[in-house]
Amino acid sequence: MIQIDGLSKRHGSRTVLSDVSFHALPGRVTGFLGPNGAGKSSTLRILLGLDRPTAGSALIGGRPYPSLRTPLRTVGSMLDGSGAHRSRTARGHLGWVARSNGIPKHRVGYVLEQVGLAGAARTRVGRFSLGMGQRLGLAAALLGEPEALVLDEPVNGLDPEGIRWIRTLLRGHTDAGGTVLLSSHLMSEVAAIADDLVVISGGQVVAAGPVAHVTAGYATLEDAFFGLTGGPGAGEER
Amino acid sequence: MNLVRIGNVIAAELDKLRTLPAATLTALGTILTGILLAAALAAADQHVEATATTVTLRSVPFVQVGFVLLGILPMAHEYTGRQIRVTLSAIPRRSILLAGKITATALTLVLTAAVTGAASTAAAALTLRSLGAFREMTADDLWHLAGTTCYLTLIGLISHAAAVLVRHLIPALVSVLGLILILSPLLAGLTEHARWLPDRAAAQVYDPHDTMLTAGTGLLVALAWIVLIAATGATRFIRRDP
Repeated sequence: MIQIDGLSKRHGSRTVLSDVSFHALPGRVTGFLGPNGAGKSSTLRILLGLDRPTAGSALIGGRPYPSLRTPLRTVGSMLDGSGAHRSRTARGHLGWVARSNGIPKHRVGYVLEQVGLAGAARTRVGRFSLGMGQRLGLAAALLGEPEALVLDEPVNGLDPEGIRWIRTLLRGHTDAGGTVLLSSHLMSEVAAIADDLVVISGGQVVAAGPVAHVTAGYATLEDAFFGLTGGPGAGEER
Repeated sequence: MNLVRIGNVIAAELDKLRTLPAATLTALGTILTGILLAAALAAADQHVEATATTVTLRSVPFVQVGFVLLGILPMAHEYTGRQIRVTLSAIPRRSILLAGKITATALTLVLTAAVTGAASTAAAALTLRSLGAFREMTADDLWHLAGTTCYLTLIGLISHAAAVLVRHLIPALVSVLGLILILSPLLAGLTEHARWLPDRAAAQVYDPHDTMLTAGTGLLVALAWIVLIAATGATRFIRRDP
């Protein structure tokens, strides 16, 4: 389980996050939704120990990420693409990631197969398409067979077949009891994958709960998104 | 358990260097440059009672550039693109990450320096022999060779420390090459205090000519610089958000 409690983050006088709290539960895909700049990535960065909060806590299985001894065996994550160096091969990238957490080497071939990149294992990452980069990022996230997956905009750059594939993959993960937290700025994409939604706007959580509950009262998913986040057309349809 | 963890980090950092074409090409290119330079310098020095070692020592100022790059790449390549995020999510304890990275870099530098020194000496010896100008090497020569390995490693570590501090390739390259190629020779012409500069102090380990510093004290001064620069960079790296 992922627990975010009272998270605040300030950069100087600018408030990026203000008292953000929500839980992502095992066995469910939680969609973390909001417009660009709403605070999604900031929250995920704090959750993964990349940034420090000004106040509040972000715990995975009751522990802060930096205290995990081999974090990739507990949480698989992808922030903004694969992050792999352009001149390395996919296999080379996953190889060092696995080694850093004592993950057996055979997992590298297995996850490459799982994300459909087995044929591109020896291709340099600089030659990958956006979608292949996303698949490589997912492969790295799956490497340590983690209980939780934290994915920032995972469907970015995927074609419809790729979106269907990721939906099946994430569903398989939650069916096995895993926790999935994924962010997106596209309501239609996330509503098709998620069980629960957490909507953030201007650094604050504005709605949270099962998808049907959060979108109730709106004619379309798009209306719900704008209605909740205060974007163009807000309040017109409710 | 912590030993296993740091072992994994060192192994991962070595893997990163092995699979980074720029790093392997730099290492191999440096060794090859050393061989070619030693052969060329041996041919040029054949009439001045040169030994394979004196020839190798003459090649050091040129091959050191490869060690500068080899010291900088392990840190700088994290920041070309977004690999640093993957690295930090795999190893969130930044002190352990840096310790592993510095150890892996030092191992790579020592190995490359030893191979460069040995291969250059062999190339110089073969060239001198083929020209009929070969002179037997003495125990002193072996010490000089060990000093060369030590100096090239130190230059690589100074560069690595600079990269830990400034993170990016170009600023690190400019600062270290600016020191070694411009500032250091310039100051040496102006003041005797230039001996305290990291590269001048380090040079005492293979070419002890200073009136005040010996090979041992030169080594200590260079190490003090490395610790100072790396500790400043490490403090910043550990405290700040990436």
